Amino acid sequence: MAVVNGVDPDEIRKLLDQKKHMEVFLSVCVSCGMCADSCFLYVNHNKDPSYMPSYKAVHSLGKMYRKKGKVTREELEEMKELVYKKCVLCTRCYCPVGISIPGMIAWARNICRSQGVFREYDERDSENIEMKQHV
Amino acid sequence: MYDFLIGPMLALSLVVFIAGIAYRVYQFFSITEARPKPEANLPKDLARTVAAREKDEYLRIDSAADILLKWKLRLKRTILGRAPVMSSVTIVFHTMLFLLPVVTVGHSILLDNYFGISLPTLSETTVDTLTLVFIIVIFFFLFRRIFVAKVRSVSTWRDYLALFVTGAPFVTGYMAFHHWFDYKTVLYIHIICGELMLIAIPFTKLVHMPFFILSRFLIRYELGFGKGSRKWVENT
Ligand code: HEM
Ligand code: HEM
Ligand code: SF4
Ligand code: SF4
Repeated sequence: MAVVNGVDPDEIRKLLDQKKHMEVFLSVCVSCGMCADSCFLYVNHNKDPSYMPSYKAVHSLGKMYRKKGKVTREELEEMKELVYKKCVLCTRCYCPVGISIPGMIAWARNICRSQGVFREYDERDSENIEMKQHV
Repeated sequence: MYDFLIGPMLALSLVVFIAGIAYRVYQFFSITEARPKPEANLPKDLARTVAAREKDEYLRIDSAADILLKWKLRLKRTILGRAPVMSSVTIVFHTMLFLLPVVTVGHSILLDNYFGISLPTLSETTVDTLTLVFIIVIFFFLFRRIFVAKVRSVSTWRDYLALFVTGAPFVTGYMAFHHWFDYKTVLYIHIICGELMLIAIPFTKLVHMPFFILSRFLIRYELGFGKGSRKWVENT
């Protein structure tokens, strides 16, 4: 299949197929929300659900698997925030069922990067500006 | 109708259930591999540290208070210590999920007739009360899913489906026992729901039953229960 709107679904598909266990993780996650409180970013952002470990994995890598790699550019841009800014890959999240989440978020980053979606360190968003004022 | 439900239909659901679980176990072994043991040839003092960590012996134990502290710290690292209420509820939930179908008098008679197995049963009133408790817990999970923001944010139809499939045999069993509505019809619905639950286990998120055991006992990682002899396969 050709590159559509700056996204190469075949390449995404190839990368997804390399991690069969992650597809299994996504199908066994019982969406219980017990991993939430083990993430310090979740706890320190007023318990905003979008910082919850399984939210970040399900709405990035999970979405790619569900759509079999056929995600749009816009969707990748939305994931960018989740996988680069809302997780620091500290690997502290605790899942009672035995799912390993940081690996999934790291792989979602990898796939985003393969499509030219990556963190821009000189990005000026409100949070950064606020931080600069404190320095 | 009854004969069909507790004959061929029961056999079919048991076959699907067992074959499905067997496939999931096979799948687990095909996406994991035996793990090399790099810690086997570590320098001596490092090896000692690793061994101490495995046995959780950081803390010097000099008194009973130290033992308590050690267990407190251990507990804090697990879901039991971090979310005690939810953990208790889920332990009660899963214990009853396995226990109740086995100790129900009606089931015991069936098992005896079919396989000649006679298991201990609890009295009908005890089972009935526990079933009611179980149904309340199911609703607790349902309301939690609807009203707790973090749980709602990851819920889709598959989560409600799993809750429904798990709860239906208990609700209909309760209705049958109390002879609500037409007993025969309710009993048939109960049997169908029970069989659907068995069939659903390998194909829905209820597959966490075998996965939990395999992943947490066989995979090596910080939260594993066992020695951890396997790891996930990368780049298959
Ligand atoms: C697959 C075939 C099944 C058959 C033939 C069956 C049959 C029965 C029968 C005859 C009763 C007694 C009703 C009465 O006392 O009048 C009963 C009750 C009950 N069943 Fe089942 N059942 C089946 C599956 C299941 C499953 C899979 C579960 C749960 C996982 C379940 C949970 C219950 C419970 C909890 C009760 C007791 C309800 C109460 O006493 O309040 N059943 N069942
Ligand atoms: C060895 C067996 C099992 C283990 C270790 C296990 C473990 C767990 C854990 C850790 C959770 C997450 C905590 C929670 O939300 O309660 C969970 C949730 C759940 N389990 Fe199990 N489970 C097992 C078997 C089963 C079976 C056989 C069923 C159903 C037939 C089942 C149905 C559920 C449901 C419906 C939930 C989700 C509750 C919710 O909506 O939040 N489990 N299980
Ligand atoms: S704790 Fe595990 S099973 Fe529960 S929502 Fe988080 S990742 Fe899913
Ligand atoms: S790895 Fe990411 S999701 Fe997990 S605890 Fe750390 S920041 Fe949170």
